[in-house]
Amino acid sequence: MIQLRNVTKKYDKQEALRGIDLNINEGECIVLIGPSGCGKSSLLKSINRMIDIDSGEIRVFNQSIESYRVEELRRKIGYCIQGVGLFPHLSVKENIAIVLRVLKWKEEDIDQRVNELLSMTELPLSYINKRPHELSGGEAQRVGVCRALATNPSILLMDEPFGALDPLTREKVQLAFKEIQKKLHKTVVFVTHDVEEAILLADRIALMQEGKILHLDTPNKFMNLDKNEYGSDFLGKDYSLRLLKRFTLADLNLKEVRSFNSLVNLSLGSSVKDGLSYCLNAEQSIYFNDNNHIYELSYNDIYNFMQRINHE
Amino acid sequence: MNRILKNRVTLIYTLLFLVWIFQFDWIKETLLFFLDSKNTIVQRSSLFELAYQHSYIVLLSTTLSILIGLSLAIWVRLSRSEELKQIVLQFSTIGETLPTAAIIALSVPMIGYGNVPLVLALCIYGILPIVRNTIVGLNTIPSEVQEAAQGLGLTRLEQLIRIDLPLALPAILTGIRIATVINVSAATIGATVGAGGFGVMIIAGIRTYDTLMIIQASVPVIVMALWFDRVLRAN
Amino acid sequence: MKDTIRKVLGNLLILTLFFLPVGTFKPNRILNGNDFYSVNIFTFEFFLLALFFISYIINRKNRFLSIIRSLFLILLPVYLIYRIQAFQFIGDYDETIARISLHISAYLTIMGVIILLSTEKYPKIKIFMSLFLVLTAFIFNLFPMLGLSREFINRRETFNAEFFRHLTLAISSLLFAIIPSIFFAYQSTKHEKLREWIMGFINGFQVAPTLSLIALIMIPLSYLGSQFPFLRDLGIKGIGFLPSFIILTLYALLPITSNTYTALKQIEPSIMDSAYALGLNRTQIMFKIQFPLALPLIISGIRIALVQSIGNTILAGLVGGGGLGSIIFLGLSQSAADLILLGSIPVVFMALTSDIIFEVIEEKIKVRMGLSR
Repeated sequence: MIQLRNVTKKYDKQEALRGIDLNINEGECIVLIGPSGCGKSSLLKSINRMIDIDSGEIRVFNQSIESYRVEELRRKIGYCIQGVGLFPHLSVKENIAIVLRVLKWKEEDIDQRVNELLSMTELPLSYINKRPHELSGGEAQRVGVCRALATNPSILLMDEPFGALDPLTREKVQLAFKEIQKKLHKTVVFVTHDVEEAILLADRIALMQEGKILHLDTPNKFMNLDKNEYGSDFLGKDYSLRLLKRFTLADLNLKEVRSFNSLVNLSLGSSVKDGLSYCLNAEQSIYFNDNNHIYELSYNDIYNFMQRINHE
Repeated sequence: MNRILKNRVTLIYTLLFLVWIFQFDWIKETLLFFLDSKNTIVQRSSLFELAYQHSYIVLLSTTLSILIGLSLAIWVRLSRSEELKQIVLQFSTIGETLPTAAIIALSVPMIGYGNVPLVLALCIYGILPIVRNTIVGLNTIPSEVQEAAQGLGLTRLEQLIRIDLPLALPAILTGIRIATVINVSAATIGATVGAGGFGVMIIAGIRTYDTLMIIQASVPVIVMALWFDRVLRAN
Repeated sequence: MKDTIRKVLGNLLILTLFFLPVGTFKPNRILNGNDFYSVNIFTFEFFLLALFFISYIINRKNRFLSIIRSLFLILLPVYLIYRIQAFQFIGDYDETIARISLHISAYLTIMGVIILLSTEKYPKIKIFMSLFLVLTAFIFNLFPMLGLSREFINRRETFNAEFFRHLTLAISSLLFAIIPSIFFAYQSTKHEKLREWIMGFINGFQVAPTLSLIALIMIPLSYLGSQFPFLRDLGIKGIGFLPSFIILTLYALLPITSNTYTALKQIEPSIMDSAYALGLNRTQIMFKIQFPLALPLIISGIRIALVQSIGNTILAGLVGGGGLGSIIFLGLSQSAADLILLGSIPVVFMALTSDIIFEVIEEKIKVRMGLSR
């Protein structure tokens, strides 16, 4: 879907991208991660030509991005930024529909599309007449996503979109986004410096440093990075622990039991990390109730599971 | 229209102005009771004609200023040239320090006497606040808004019309208000360069110590200035 | 090339020397003048000009080149004016009455010089030097044939008198307005309701045409003057200094009041809280904290008021208050361009100089207080 070949970009004397090669498949969510200045934002912005590259080629929908008129290219690609950038003088509905109006859609079609998008992001339909300054941070970000998806682009570019939200809101929005992505299967390129966000959302992670992609793989495989490499420093020595957030207890295929000592407050939908946290407080197995079934969880379950995904 | 009617003070101004211009005789009697008037000069133009001339001069020069000023500011914006923006801003700032009376007087050797040189001088002087306010207003648009608009695939023109100008509207309106009010004031001086307007009667009144004439022309022009100032304030 | 637009614009303006009239020769005050062009006065100078234009195309960052260019630009205006007024007219004329005026390409060239100097190093100093040379040459009567000089020499005493009268009127009305303005602004911060009334009132004076206000205030003043002779002796009469002074003072109120109000309002509450917590009383806070912090904006307001005042004082000329305005209006009534120039140029000069001086003062204060780099 998106191919970058030997892409370079320099700002004055500073090299932001030093020869990037990357293939992004249709329907996958690839997360670019790395410290400030590693080039992840520049890479993202080069795809929809918010930044012009110095050399190399970028192809989208099997065509070079230079072959499109720049506005047409951007209308086929959704773009979400950290500050959202909602237009303060327009209502929520007009914000979302702005490109549709430029494309001269009929009023009924616009109404229908706006309602569709609002329900998909779980915003009340009554919000159509609200102004941006009346929205909370999370709501504003959702409206931004609606606006980006208005023309139903197949590609979505997101530049640290949830960075300005407080941790609680951020988690909610991340999970909501994961749900939307499951339904829509957009090709998403997502930039963040938050490792846990990457673990949660990515099909593949691209770890970048100083303008180059150091390592590109699924989140699971990142566990095996050499401990001395730069990667483990940035991703954190507790990467394996963080990875546990990606999976739920349901993925562990736990045993159902009849008898138990006491129950802990978990369910099949809880993350494996939460499960491990409870295990640390117990000597042996722990038990929890989900939908009137009692399950047993022990360290071994978790360990076996990790071994399994490691060898996939 | 609604804004004019809703605001009581503006309504009072409007009524006062209209009554004064068209039915001055009602007011004349009351004033004559308190003052002594000579009425030695045969007025060449009635108050109504002067009002018409004055309004015409102000509206014409302000409209021209708006057209040229906005076009200039939009051109600067679309050119994306920082240098051009700096030059235009510097010119405007320096130009605004120059006294209006001096500009009007200086236009005489170049263009001559009468209404046309006055309108020209007022037009040029009015362009300055409009251009400056518009450029500054466009400057204050948050960068995320601009980035989002670009990322959505709006052309520069669409951006300008749908996003930039609406957001800069308060600043633009302020510039227009400043230009208009200054024009009303400067047009009174126009009488010294052979133009029409209330200034003719004011100066005639000063020269002949005719208090009635002074009041007759001063009150409506002050009301006109206050009216424009009120109506063009966005709050 | 950096500053491309300015360099192109400046050079184009100087280029007009080649094809637009540069001066007008008038045998006397009344007859229309004969325009003449640079070809009529320049010979080898064209070569120098050509070299000058070429130096911009070469565009090496040569220090020597830059100095030569700046020198050329600084000397150009005064040399140009000198040569223009030295033009020899072929024909009969009375030397004592004939005069020469600058025409459009001269003015455009001077504008071009200023723009080009702004692209050099230390632009403000160089522009000042160039204009200072012209001013000095003028005052020392190095341009005898210039119409402007003629009027100046003929009316030397009147000019001086009106110049100082203008300055006095503008500055005294400003000084008179400062204390009340600051007082109003301070009261406005305390009582928000009062602020609306005060601001509305003061704003009304700004908006209303100055001429009409001056005319109106003449009425009560002349009434008082005629009814009470002792007041008349004090100077309270319809015309003269007082009506202009009063209106100019009222006019100066808005910029100073508005700026002072904003300055006081934008002091961070935490600063005020600390001051109270330290045990300072109202007066101490006012003089040691509030006003020092508000000073830059107050000075800015005074600057705006002064520049406005200098411009508005022109109108005093219409009501017998004197000032350079009387020279301007005299010129307007007689269709004498040189008189108009004689009155206008000093006013413009005063306005620009005050603006610059006060901007420098503002910067110095800001740096002293650490609000600027």
